[in-house]
Amino acid sequence: MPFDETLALNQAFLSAITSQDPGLVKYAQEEANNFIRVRLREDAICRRILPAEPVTREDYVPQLEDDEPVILVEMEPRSPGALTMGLGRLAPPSFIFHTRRFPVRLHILESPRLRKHIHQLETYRADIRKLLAEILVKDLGYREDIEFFKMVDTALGVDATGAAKDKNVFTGVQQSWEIPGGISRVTLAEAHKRTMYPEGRIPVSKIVTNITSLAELQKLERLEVGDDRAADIFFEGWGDRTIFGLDVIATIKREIITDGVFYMFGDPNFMGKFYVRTEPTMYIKTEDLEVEFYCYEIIGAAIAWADAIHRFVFVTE
Amino acid sequence: MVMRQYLNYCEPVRGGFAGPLVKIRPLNSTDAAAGKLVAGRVVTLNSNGEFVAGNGNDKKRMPLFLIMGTNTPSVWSSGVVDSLTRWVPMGHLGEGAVALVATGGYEIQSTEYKKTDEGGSPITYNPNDPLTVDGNGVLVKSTSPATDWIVGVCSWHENAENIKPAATGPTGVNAHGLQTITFWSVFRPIYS
Repeated sequence: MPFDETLALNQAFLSAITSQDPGLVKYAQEEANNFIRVRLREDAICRRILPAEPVTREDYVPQLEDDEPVILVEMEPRSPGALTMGLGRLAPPSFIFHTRRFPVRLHILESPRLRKHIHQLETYRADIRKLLAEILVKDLGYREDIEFFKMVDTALGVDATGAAKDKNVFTGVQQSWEIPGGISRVTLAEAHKRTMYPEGRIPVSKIVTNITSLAELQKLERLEVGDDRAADIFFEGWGDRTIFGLDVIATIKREIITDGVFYMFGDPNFMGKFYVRTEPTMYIKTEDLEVEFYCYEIIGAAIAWADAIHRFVFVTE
Repeated sequence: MVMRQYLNYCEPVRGGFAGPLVKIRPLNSTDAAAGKLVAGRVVTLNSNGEFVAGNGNDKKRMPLFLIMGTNTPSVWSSGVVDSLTRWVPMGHLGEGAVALVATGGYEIQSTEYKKTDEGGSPITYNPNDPLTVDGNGVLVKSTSPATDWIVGVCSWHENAENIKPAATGPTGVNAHGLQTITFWSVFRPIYS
């Protein structure tokens, strides 16, 4: 954006937030909100795994034990299965089915409160709206992903050290594995094979890893990849290529998904729910010569079935 | 009926809105599962930066008073029912517990105090009695204040509503109908 245009936008933005007119302050908040919402959808990778669905207060189910917002979700009832019967008996055993429900409780994610003297803010030559959006989105998106992957690891029984040693907390089936041999065609195929072990047989559709682990994939040689696409990857990067037909998503958040860790996820309908009551919203307050900004969102998610979630740690001996 | 989130309760009745004076840290999962980290309990930070109940026999540790613990569903709703996991929530696995730091300028009301001694006799609390905690972070009158880990000094019960009986000391019933103790937070570390 040309410098003059940025300067004009900054001045308009600052005039709006320092205005006594509530309408102009609202305009400034909306200007920032547009940036934040778009960026958060791009940056929080958890929303690409379990898409967020909007909810309203009409979706809340009041609880006896507390007054926090809760949404109840129904699960598909299970059945005992069909029987092979000899002729001569007219009625098979009966079965009363029950649906199970699970709650999704909402909570608030808040950014830190950013404070600045108005006259210091006026010296900024960068686009203030983008600057704020960058900071706040980074914080909210980071927090979302931390919470999401903690939920995923808990469902898979991964211990606090990140070691893959426990089992799916719902079924007891191991779905968190250490794969020896580093990252190669063979070990990736081995991991993919193990996603077919759980009883649900839910096909996975996404691989989620971090950028350094994705870079490891670029080392795959022509012999492993099978054709000239090894050279294409060498020159062009991984791009949006798939592996075994699975979309590959790589995050820059190496602190959340550590090197060598790959997750594989199936259809979100086989996992749980992710609800958004309030999309990221900017709050702006001006007092004396100080402006205060913060951003919050009200979200909630839960995993109620983990057959479509898998975690692999590729290790070299 | 008192709702689950108010059965264990802690609030600063004086000192105003705590705001930025709170500390937000994760709960230690072992203590949380054992029911030791409800609101009102005295906690400290362990070496992993988690809230644990009591001081872990280290009288140098800074005491904090939990105001949102495992009884607050948006802090803790593990989805485990009778040892069976039914669901795994996002963000409610103890990550966002909130506590008041004992050196803040508060007068605090808490449900988490001992009403009887080990022999079953009632404990009488008077203004200015020093408070320490047991191993589970429950407040109790100090019997050896010179060497105990002192975290508070009893004040005078505050009625949230005028319809309640007049206070007769630091203990009394709060607006949710629960017995509470009211005290000023203080802290004296002991280096030995």
